[in-house]
Amino acid sequence: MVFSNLLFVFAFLPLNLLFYAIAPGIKAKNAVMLVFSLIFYAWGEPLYILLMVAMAFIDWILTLQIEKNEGIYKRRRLLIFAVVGIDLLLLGIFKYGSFILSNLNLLTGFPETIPSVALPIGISFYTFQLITYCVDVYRGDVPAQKSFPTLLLYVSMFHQCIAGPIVRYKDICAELSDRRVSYADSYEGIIRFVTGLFKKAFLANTCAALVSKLLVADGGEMTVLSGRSSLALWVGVLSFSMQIYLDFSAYSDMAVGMGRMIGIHYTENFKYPYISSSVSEFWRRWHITLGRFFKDYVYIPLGGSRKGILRTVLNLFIVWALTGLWHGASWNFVLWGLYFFVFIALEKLFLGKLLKKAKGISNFYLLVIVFFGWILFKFENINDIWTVLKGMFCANGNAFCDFETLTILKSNIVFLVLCVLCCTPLFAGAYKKLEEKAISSKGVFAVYSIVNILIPLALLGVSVAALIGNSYNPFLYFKF
Amino acid sequence: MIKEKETLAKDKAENEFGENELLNGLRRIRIANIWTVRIFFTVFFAVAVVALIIPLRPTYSDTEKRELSKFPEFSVASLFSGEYFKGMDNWYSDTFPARDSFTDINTRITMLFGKTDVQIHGEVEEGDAIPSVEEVTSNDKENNVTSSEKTEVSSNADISSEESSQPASSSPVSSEAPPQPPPPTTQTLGALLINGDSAYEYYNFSREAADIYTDAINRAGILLNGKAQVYDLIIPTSMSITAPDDLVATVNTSDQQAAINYMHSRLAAPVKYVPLYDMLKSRRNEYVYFRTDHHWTALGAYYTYCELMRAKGTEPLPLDSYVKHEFSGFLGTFYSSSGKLPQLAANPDTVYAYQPPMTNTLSLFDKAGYWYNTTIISDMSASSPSNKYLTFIKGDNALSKIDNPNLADGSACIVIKESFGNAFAPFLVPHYQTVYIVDYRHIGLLDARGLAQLQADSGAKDIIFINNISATRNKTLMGYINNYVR
Repeated sequence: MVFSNLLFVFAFLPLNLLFYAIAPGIKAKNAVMLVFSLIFYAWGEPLYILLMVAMAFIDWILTLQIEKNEGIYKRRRLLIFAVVGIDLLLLGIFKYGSFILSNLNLLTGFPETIPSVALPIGISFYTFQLITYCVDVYRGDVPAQKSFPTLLLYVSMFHQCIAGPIVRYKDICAELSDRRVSYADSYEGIIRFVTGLFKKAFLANTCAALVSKLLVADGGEMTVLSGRSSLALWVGVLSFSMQIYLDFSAYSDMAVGMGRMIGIHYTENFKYPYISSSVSEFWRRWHITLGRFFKDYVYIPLGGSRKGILRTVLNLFIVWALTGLWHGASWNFVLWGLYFFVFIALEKLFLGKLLKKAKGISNFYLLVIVFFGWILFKFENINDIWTVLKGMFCANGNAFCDFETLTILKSNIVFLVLCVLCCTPLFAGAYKKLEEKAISSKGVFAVYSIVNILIPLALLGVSVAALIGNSYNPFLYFKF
Repeated sequence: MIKEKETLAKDKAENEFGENELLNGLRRIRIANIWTVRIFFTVFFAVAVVALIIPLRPTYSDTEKRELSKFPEFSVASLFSGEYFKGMDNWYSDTFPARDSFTDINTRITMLFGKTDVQIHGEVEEGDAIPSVEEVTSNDKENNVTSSEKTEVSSNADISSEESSQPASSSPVSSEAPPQPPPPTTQTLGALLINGDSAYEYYNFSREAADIYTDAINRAGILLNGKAQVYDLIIPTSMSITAPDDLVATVNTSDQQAAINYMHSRLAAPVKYVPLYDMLKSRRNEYVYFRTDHHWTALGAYYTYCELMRAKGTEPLPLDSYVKHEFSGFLGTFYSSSGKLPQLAANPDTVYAYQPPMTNTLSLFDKAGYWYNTTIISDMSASSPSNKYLTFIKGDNALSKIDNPNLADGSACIVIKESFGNAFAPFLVPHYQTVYIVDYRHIGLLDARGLAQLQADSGAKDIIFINNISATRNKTLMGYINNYVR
């Protein structure tokens, strides 16, 4: 199941909240969450749910052993290698199996037939969550979880299981066994949830429809790309840039919102990445929990920046190649990761200091880099990437603009501007200002109290209309 | 969050307001937020409950003219593949209470962004390059004699149809076992261009589909040679006829005239081709196509009937000898598939229907093999705005016939058509004792007989293929027509 689905919004979630409210005590409430989470996952992956449960079980057993063997360094080390090794092996098989074999086939001609392995949804997210748990216990940051259902709940929690944020065990382990919900939690939860739903159902899905009109439809023939006008490609990539941010951050918003509704505080995953002024900053604002994972569990263990400049660059290279690869089993994602590596390395070496001096220019610099990055992300085939890049500069014999592009642009220009604004903190800031003013002024308060009731309902209504009225509702992270 | 705010605001308070005033302000906000939570959850759970009331769920969408998704049937296989749950998702959202109203709201919201007269709906596809006629004829000259056999073979290879002249084929066809009927497919609309109160469908030429089509027509000519005369009429769509020239010149749509010329050039004797393009173009200022629907009007169909009669050497009846009906307020497929654009609704179409003077009785062939009677032109004055084109011969039925009570000469014709033919067929009634009307998209499900058998059974002397150009770019549909020619 996915969040942007009416069955989820109006059947699954209300039932979940209802049972949660009725359930007496934290144990029963956790049981409700676990059952709902397993149903949620099984809805999309009726078979692979076994894989998730099995992985959680293995990790639970082995991590308990790690804790038991406190002081026996060698055995603990062996155990942590074993547990992380098993997790990565399973991730490797199910996510990268076909990719590795097909590359092997290209190099050696073996094997002749490549079995197609279906990618279990969310495997990249929950595997990483499990790894944070095992490693944090190994490091002694947090005690091992004695109860398997509780650990399984942490891994499978439907809020974040399939599209993030990648929540570290130690960040929510306290709330797994003790939490309460205040009205303030419910309020924040509602606001975050409907904002996310609106971003996904209305903004991101409309952007997706634009992308398919201006670039290429999902499953469409890539040959259309060479005939697209230059302007269509520029606006198409712009739409994709906004689609992927609005879509991805929408899932995190909804996850955070639903967490708040039951008193759990998940780590924030996005903080307006497009207003960054360097690539490094972008990655501190974009998919924050993934960046943190690679920093804490790969970059720093490799020595981070403490082992000299060459080693630092090598470490960055490894981290960014892996970050790219995490987004999908295809070379274009690796390329996309390494593309960021180049800029991050340059920023670490000298560019960062220059960028700090040049406000404004540095924002532009970041946007240009991210913009072209999305082309690498969007198209798996290097020829298609090249076609788009050439087409942007009219080098395919294509026109700069044609009737279709102009028409589509005209009927969507206001929408595109709205999307741009929604990628900035403008609306959230305005709302905060209104709230502050409402504290001191009764007149403003009257406006606030009405707006405060109407906006969540309006966002919900628009989202439902969009989910029913638009045919386009893709789930982007099947590859993750 | 609130706590942070409290401390933050507290600091502020000491500078600006009295402490009491500030605390009152914060309390107010807190109460307002509590009300937001209460009201939101009340509405949210109310919608959830309403959505669970099955009788409130629609089963048919009037605007989209389709049956909505059904609750999936359970099977172990579908459970484990995930199809069962996916089916439930589809059913739940597709049949959401008041779905058509939500669709309508969605369109209105979308309209707020960039309200422009000219719009494009759907994804424009690039058409194949259309070969010039010289290119085709020079190719044909090289293998003039064998061309018909050649096309037969190639079309068989293409879509593995059963072919009566080739019983040696591996397909399990025998006289006892009728060929497997194709699954029913209706034409789906491509991208739309909306210009003010009118919409036009994009056309992208597909050489492969066009070749299947012309091969099938040629094969029909050979198959029925000496038994009946095969006529072929290719109807252009409004994009190439009534759309403003300056607009079409900029639009990325294939040239329909060139495409029709190409198909014409591939047609060989004994098929008689009846040109329509120039005639319709010369009448573009008349009401020959709808603006909110992809069909032509009965007037366009009447002029086409006249062309056919002239090609036959028969005098067509004047239009005023038919009984005229008028159904106003028509908002057709362009309206619904563009998401109910208000600019189209502002100026609805009117359906004029012409009933043969001698009869209004149409017979439909049913699954059990019986004919049952209904009306040729039905009263649509009370129907919903989207259904008015169904006035003609009760819509798309696999096989129907019209008997002319004034004739007893055994004359008959067979019309092989898509929905464009519905407005056309009634005009033929005065000229034949029986007019058979075949919708090749559905006939396979109903009647195992191929065209040759129906011709033999009916003794029809005229076989009239009347197909709109939008169908000739659709390989699936052309596969059906090819399949029927046997």
